Amino acid sequence: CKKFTDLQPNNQFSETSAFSSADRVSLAVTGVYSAMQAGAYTDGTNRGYPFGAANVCQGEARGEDFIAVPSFFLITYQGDYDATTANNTAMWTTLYAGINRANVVIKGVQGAVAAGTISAAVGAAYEGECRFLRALAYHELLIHFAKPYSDDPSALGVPLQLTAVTGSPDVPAASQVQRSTVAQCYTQILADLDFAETNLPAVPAIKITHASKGAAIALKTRIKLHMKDWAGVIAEGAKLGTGTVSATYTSPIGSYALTASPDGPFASVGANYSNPESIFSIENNTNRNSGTNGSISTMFTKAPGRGLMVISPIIYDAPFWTANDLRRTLLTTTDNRYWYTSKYKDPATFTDANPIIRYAEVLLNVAEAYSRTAALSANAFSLLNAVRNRSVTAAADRFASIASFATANDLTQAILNERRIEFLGEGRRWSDIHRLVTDPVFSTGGIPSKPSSANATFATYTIGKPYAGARSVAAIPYTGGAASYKFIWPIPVVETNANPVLAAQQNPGY
Amino acid sequence: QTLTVTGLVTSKDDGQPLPGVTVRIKGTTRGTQTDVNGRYTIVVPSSESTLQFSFVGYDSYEQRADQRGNISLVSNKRSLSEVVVVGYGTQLRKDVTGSVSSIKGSDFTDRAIPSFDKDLAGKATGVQVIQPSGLLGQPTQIRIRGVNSINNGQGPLYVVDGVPVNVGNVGDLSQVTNSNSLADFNPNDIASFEVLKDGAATAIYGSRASNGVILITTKRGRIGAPQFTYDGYFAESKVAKRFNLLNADQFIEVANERLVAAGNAPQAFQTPNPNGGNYNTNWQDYLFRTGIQQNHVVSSSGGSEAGRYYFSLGYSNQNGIIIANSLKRYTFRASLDQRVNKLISVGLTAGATYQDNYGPTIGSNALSGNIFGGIRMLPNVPVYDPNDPTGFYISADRRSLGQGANLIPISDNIPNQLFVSTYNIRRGQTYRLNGNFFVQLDLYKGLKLKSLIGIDNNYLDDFQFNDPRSGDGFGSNGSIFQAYTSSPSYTVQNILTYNTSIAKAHNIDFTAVQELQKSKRQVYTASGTGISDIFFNQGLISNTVTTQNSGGSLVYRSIESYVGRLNYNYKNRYYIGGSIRADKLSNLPIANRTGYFPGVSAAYRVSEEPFFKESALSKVVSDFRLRGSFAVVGNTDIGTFPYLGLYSSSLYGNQNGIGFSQSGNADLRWEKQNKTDVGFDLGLFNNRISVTAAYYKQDSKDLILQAPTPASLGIPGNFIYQNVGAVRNTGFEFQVNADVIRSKDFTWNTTLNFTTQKNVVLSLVNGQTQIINSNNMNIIRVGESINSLYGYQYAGVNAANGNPLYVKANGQIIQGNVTTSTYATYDPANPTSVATAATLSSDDRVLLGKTLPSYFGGFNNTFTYKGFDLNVFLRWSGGNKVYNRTRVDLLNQNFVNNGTEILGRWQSAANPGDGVTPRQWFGKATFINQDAAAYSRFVENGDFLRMDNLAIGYKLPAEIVNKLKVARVRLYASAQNVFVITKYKGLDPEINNNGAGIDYNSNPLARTFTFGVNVGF
Repeated sequence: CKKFTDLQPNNQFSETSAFSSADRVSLAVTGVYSAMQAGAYTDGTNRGYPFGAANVCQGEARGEDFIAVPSFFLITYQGDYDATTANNTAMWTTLYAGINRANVVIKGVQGAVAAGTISAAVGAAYEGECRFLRALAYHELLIHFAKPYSDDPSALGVPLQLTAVTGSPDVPAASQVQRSTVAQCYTQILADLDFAETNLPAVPAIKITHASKGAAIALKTRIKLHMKDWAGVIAEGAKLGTGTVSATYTSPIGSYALTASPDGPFASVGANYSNPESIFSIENNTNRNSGTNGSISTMFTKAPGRGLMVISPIIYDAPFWTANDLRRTLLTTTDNRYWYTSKYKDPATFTDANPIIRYAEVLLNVAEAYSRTAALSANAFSLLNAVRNRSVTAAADRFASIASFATANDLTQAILNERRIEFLGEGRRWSDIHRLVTDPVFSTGGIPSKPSSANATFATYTIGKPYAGARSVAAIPYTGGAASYKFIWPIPVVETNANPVLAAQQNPGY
Repeated sequence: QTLTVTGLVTSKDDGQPLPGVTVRIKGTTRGTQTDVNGRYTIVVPSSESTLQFSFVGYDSYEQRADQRGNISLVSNKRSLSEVVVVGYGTQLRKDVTGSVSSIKGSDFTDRAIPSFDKDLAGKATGVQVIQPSGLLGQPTQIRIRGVNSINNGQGPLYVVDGVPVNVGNVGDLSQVTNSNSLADFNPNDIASFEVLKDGAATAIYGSRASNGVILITTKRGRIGAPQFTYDGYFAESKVAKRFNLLNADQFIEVANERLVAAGNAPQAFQTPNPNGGNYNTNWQDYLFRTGIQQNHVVSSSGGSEAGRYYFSLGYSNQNGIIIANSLKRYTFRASLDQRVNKLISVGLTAGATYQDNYGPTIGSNALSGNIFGGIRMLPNVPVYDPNDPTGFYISADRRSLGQGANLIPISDNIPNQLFVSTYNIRRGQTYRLNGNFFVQLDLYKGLKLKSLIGIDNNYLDDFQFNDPRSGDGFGSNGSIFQAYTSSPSYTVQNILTYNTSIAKAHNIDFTAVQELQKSKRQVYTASGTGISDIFFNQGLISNTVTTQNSGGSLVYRSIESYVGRLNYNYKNRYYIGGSIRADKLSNLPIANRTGYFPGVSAAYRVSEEPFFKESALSKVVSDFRLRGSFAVVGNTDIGTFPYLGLYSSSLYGNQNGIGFSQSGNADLRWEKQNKTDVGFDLGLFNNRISVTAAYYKQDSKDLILQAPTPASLGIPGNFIYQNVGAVRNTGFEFQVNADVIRSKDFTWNTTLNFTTQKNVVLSLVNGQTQIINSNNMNIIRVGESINSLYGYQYAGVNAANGNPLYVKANGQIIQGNVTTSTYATYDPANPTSVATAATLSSDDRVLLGKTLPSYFGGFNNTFTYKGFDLNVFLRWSGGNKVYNRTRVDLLNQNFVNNGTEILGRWQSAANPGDGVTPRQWFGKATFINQDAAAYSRFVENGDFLRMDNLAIGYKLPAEIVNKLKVARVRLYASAQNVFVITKYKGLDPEINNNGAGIDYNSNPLARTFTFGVNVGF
């Protein structure tokens, strides 16, 4: 009976063999995407944290262009969160779980290269994928848990965990990591993305749902926009073909281009995963998804979806959103109570991709950068129209010429307005509120006041007539109000309970 | 003149004839024995003679020869010559040196219970029973002498007929509904339970004993004429206590008040009922019901010296008090014992059980959880809608409950709970084969070798269906899930025993055991969404769903053990014993896989000393014994491969991947516990009164903790298994058993047991002083009781503005400004001011009370008068706090119903309410009532006194019984959970979802009335 108790698991690999073959290394790299798609929510279930769905749900619930119908996202919507709230807790824990998963695989990949299991080139590409995802995760952390770069780059950012933590020996050092400054975090994000750009192929084996050279560059246009590095945005965009004045744009890297119709990336579940416009999306599938209580497919969709995130009359009624805009006619729908986005099609099996970055965003990022740096920039105007005019088809609704704008700020405002329409329901709103909050011209001043789900009756949806009804959810000003501290989230109590270093660096007010 | 007396001797317990009873004429040596039918005939010299009846395990009895010949003997549990089942053998009661509580199987047979574990509470010292809810299939949590582990198994080891039950075959096995594996054992088939508590009793189970051991012995045939019995009952259960919910008028007022407070127009309105008036629905009338239950058992047994048999068939059909909850059970059990020749005897025990469990959707925080959703159902709308194809009142968009005249629907699309309970299916069917076969060789006087093979195989078929027409299955157009779990295990035991007595003074008992146990747990799952037709709602049928998925898992575990035990006593006066067990467990790293678990015990029977026997005291004190023991035991219930760093499958959408899933620890070693026990046994008046008292101390150390790591490190699950942590449990146990009255026609037997327990965490990982549980309500803190409640101190309501008040750690009182969801200082001189910001931070939390009771006990009384018997059983528990999390839900601020506590809310300075309930604000339950942390506002005393059982029985007189051509008939009626005296505001202080003192949307307990009959042929 010597061997009677010598059993090995059947459901898992031992960590010693996880990188023992080229195939397993490849599986482990996919595992990093898996962690970014979904980690454990506070109750252990899959609710799409961080990037399966939650970045979108939270990104919209923190802004004013969607209304949270009680009660899933109400705490976020109303600013009732504290350090115990499940949403911000899960965002923090799953992002860091994903970051460590990336760090562990980077270490494993490097080990596999050293062992000759895979070539150095393949290893560098794998590492590029991991670092792309790590950068994406750190930026999501920064926009929720730290002040904007544009306010104070020397403010506390988040702790930068950059080495694998696999067991007890790694814990003491990792537990001492303090919060880096916001600037240090952005520097790290850019270093990761530069590495990814250098080492990733233009066309990955699995398009859209895996990181690519183009995805790294596209994400840099977003990151540098947050840093107000306008020249940097323009330079990065140029790599993706945005450096000209043109009616249409196509990227020399990855051949990204806008689809003919604005619903191209959303026309069907299949289109999510095979269109020229989506640069990087997170895959959801019947086998692995955020389920009925988490997925974008259910939350944003009217019945039979859960329909707990509905378009707010604030944006629906905004005068800058024209009546016949295809994004209104093709991508919204109603149940005669609220208006919903119809970007997500599959509440039955939750297979909609989560659009992380599209070519349209690159165009608008670069447009803003041009508009910020040159008076009434023709490049900015051209890029804006490339996005806008595929949806705004009537000549009367279009901007006739650059002369339609009196000042550069007017053009910039139009670009910012366009972002709200173009990315409605894709979770980008919070990111913009965060980066612009200290902008002298374009700031919202904080989280705007907004209507409750009962304030916004169906009658308040009136195209072109700005919403004038009650806004019973009070604004959270960035500075000067009792609730101002809530502009950024607290470090969750699950962290501070176990980590005295970060407990001492809690965001003020909590 | 001489007289011939004939008669029948039966057992008072069950009316069964007793063969082999010695009948002697007092003062003579003349006597006889009862025959296999319990009958005797004896010739006595005169009618003045007295007959003495004596039998092992029963009280002796005397009566004059001219009285009736038929007598019943009362079994005497305290009888020192009673045989007690111990680990890997039996001992006489008087020779047991450990702390063992015995409970007879018959204590469970006269009442409607789904499984014996539900009724263990109060029966034995040191045994705490936690009821998660009133659901039939939900197992209880049994804690013996406190909570002895932090993250790992806290329940006892179960041993059935000598074979340890694998941990995988204990507890709730189903994935979709509650299915209690302990319900596989028909209470009628159980002869006795022995609860092993201290080191002396449990050390023989070594690594598996730190949470105590429950030995279950099933019935076997007895020598005598064939017996045939029928036992049956019908029972009716009702919900013992319901929630106090708002009626329609109250709801409309309260809901609109909170909406308006938050800047909205009123949205709640009366919904006219076409039959007159407005709808006013108490959903509990529909969600709860009178549960009708029936149970029938037939058994047959008999045997001779050469062979004995027992078999039984049982059928139980129980409908729960909660709609959609039911349990059907078919049991078959048989045992055979055959003596082949002087050398060889063989035995077989086999049991087969089929359980069919249906349950509602539960889940404290699930939208379709029957309590979560049930307490939220709007009272101003109907349950039914004859115009709906389903017959239920459902919203036009079919997502949720219909909204009636309200302008907004119920929050979170909560579906009509009656629709959900009626059409969604949660079913768990289990099939269990449990049995063993042994060969015993009587090698030499007192030397025996027994080889045993036992199997314990569980097969579970889980089925779940969500109806596409509304609720959970609506979004996916119907969903179906089926899982098949097979958990076979086998055990091989070789037991060598030798006992001898040298010169009638030196009694030696030696046991050596080899035991191998291996188990497998394999799961296959399949599911689908998009069902073609709801006709296919009874099983997963090919090509009836548009999207099909499958999955599965496979786990093996094994344990290899060697045991030696030696007991010695000198003239039953001085006892000393020792045992050692070596265990190898597959779930530990090779270097640390073998653990050694020794135990020693000693006892001193003072009453056997000559000086004692000669003293006057011996007239009163018939038995007095001191005993003590020490042992090191362990815990094998530590999860699967906790020591390995693992990568498990990790899908990304549809792409295969693997991911780091567990941080390993190659140094992981056994979780161990030092058990110390001292006590005494006292028998008075020929053991008519017996007293047992013990003090215990259990130091668990090297506890395998899921030692928390900061979330920002990103370690899977945010923990690493480490052997750090120590917990001490101490307490006193005290039991008195007395035959208070023992006259011919009237007897009164009473048992009082009382236990105290004190739990303290001695140390934790890496010098940490506390671990806050992931629920953010319980804390494990060094120096405190495990899983104490931890949170904020509440200071009532600011009468000036209705804001909730809190006490910070520094004693400062602050208020939560409901308008802005921020905190401000509170100045009693200027109470309306919220100008100065304050914080309520995690540092402001304090201990709010311990969740383990500091005492509990039971008081059991049985009276008999002629043919009547009466049982009154009270039990109590106290010293603990319960977090009434359900109350938080009942004060929810969404568009859902509330409990009546909300009527005490602050409405204005002139109408400040009950001083506890703050003002309302639509959608701000989280800020007002704080549902993600613990608050002293919802901490309540868990003390209670319960009348657990009240039963009356009547044995039909012989004349009637004879006419019926049966041997005996007993009719009885009983009531369980008759009343509870408690200050706890929730449904019941004992319901407790997680064993850590939190009552969170648990289902109510039942009050049950049972009517039954026992017939012997």
